Amino acid sequence: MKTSLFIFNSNMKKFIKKLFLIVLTVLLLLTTVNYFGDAARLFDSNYEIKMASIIRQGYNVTNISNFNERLFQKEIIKNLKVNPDILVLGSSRSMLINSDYFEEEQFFNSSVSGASIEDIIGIYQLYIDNDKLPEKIILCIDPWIFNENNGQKRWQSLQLEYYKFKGEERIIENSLNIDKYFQIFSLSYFQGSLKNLFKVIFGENYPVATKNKENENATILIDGSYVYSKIKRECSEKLTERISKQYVNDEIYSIEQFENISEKIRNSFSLLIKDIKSKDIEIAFFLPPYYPSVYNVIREDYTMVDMVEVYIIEYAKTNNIKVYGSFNPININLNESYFYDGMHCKESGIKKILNSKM
Amino acid sequence: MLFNSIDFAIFLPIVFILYWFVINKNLKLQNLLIVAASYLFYGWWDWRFLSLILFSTIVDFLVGLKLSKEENKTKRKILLLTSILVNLGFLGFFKYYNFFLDNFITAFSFFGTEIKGNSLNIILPVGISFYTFQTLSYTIDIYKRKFEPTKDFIAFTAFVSFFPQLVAGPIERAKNLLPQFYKKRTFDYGNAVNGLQQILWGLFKKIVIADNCAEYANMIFNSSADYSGSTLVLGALFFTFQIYGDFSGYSDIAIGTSRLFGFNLMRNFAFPYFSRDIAEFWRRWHISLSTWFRDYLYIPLGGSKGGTGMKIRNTFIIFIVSGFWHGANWTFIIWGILNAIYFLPLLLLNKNRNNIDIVAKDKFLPSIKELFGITITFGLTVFAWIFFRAENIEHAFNYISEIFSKSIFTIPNFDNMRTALNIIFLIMGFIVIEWLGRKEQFAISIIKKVKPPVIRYLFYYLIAITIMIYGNFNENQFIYFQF
Repeated sequence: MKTSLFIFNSNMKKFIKKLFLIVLTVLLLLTTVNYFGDAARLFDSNYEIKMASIIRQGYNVTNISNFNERLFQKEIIKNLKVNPDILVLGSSRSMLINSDYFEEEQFFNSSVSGASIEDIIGIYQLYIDNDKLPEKIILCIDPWIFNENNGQKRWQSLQLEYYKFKGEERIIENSLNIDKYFQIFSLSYFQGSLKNLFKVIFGENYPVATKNKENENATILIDGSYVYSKIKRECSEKLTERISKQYVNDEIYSIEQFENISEKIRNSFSLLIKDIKSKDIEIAFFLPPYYPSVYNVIREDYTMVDMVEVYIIEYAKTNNIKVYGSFNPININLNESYFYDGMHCKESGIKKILNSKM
Repeated sequence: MLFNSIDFAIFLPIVFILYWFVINKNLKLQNLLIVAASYLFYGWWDWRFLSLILFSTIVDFLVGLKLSKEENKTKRKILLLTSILVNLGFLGFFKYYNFFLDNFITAFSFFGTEIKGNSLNIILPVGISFYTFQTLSYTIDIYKRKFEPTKDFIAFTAFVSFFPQLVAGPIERAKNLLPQFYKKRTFDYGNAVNGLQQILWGLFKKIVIADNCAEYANMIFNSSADYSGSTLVLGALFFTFQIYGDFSGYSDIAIGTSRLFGFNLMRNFAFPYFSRDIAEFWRRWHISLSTWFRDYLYIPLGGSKGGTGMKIRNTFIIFIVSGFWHGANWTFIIWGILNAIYFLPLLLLNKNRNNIDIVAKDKFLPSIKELFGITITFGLTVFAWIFFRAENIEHAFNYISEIFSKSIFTIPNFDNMRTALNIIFLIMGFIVIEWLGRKEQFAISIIKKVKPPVIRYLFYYLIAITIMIYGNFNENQFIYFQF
């Protein structure tokens, strides 16, 4: 006699059938919107290529959002016409450094949001691979690059380059690709994708070429630097203060669980600096300041941040490297008016920092 | 494990399938599965504290058996005391140790004596206030000979740890829940569908109403000094809906989930914000706790039978204890006292049982008098919630004093006002549905009266899509987990 593990009666069958149909309909809606709305452009591999192509043609690119900044760097570096005189590597906190601050003609900013040491090394390796190494590198030092628990995963788009630099042979596991397929079932992703779906339907979902530097939306200039959207540029000091307050009320970006300056990262960092120096490239460190009240909280509760600054200053002294800026805004005479939010300094602040050597 | 998490979305169907489709012929195995699932559910948060539940379970099981056989009054009292000491001992240590220590140190230093005491870095085990009260009711009922103890340890363990209501209630009584573990359970289609509907409504309350309100309530309460009186009123209103959506949403999911497994839990919320006076509010808010305090504290103290002095004393005791049950903070105690002050006039004037039935039972809209009662009661409740939500007493008083300043007459202003407007519209829609369904066990079961199934299904899809569009999917913890 054939026996089954499962025992069904007609009521159960009816229940399961109906439930299955309801869940299936909801899942169908969810996956369709997530795939076609695609808020973070996980399923559109051409977006970064389109952006890079606009820059290559000598235009700034605006109307941009949610793209993979690492893939964009791959595209743009591959197509750089000349080697830059000055190259900026770092995070969103160095993205606003632009060619206006320098006399040298060829300037390029290859900063990516939330850059970790792996990102910096990966992008540096891209310059090596494409034979586009600069004469000078300004390296933005964010405290979290020394925090092993910084939670940054975006560098995985550059893991091939990172491991190549480190001389480690690895089977590349692209967890981003796996995450991508999980996102198709994500309810949070659905909300973003639904908004984006209308843009897709009305054809407003593409990067736009422009000669203007300041636009309604965020813009990447031909030198790779970034200009914020109009709303952010015109944010009042009061709102900035409130945003900064909120910033410290939540978990502070990438410096939670910062227990020590990771030895592993310190070694990677030294390896990078040695390599840069061995290629006769001049190097300078840029320490981006925090908003004054944010820094006060950080000084009290996140002591590793100051430790990073001390470590970097010592390291720079030993290796004869220039240091611009400080995490502490008081050290560089920056008050609240020089900030967009809790951790992003305005162009005027950057100019002040670059004009004054520490 | 949180009800509003992916983990639970995977866990629930697996347990459901095993329960109904694999071992449904064997009651013992079903109970064992519930125990295993419940321990997994709790251990997902922190497995170390499973030992506390297990210890409480063993103690109360043994005390229950001994109590039933013991005739000697003194020995019976000792047995009861053992159960109370173990359960309240755990609760006192984990929840109140630091509070008492800090207050003793402050009190002694006030009188010029410095005493040293180290606060302990204690993690509060999730749900400890709920399951300790549940097991306590078991031993107290046996002591009072109102209930026969069980000899089935697995059934008793399942009763104590039943995962749908383990961490935030409803706090069940043994005489309601425990016998359900002895009876053979058969799959009931109507019950299961009803359970799913209640889960859906619970998720809506939690993910759409509570978690979205929480964003604004937290923003306004955390920086209350920066906002005008009118914005602070809005902050208090956001918290009012946050706590209702959060807690009653949890109860709905718990009751709905239990139905899926063939269990009926007691009702925990009955549209409290439509209450016409505070006495009615307390009959409709967190019913399982209010009735627990009524049966095991208020009535043993003499209830409202004694003179005026006794009535006042008992009312204050029950509300202060209820406040303290919520947490080791003076804000909760003030919240309790405030509710006692609201309640007392009704009790003394013998008007505390004026409003038993749901408002406008046979009408569509309330009368002017009823509307007035609802508005006043709601206003008093919102005011009391300020103490409940504030960080400390000083914060609460500063918050209230700003509300009663000139700035109350300004237009509320805070970040993301536009998004907040969406939430306000959702709250309004939520109130309408709750009003329409106020005569039901939970609001959306009103839809079962609509005959064409297409409309019913469209309605369920509408709620599901609203959750998808407006839900806050940060897997926020339920407020009552901390109590």
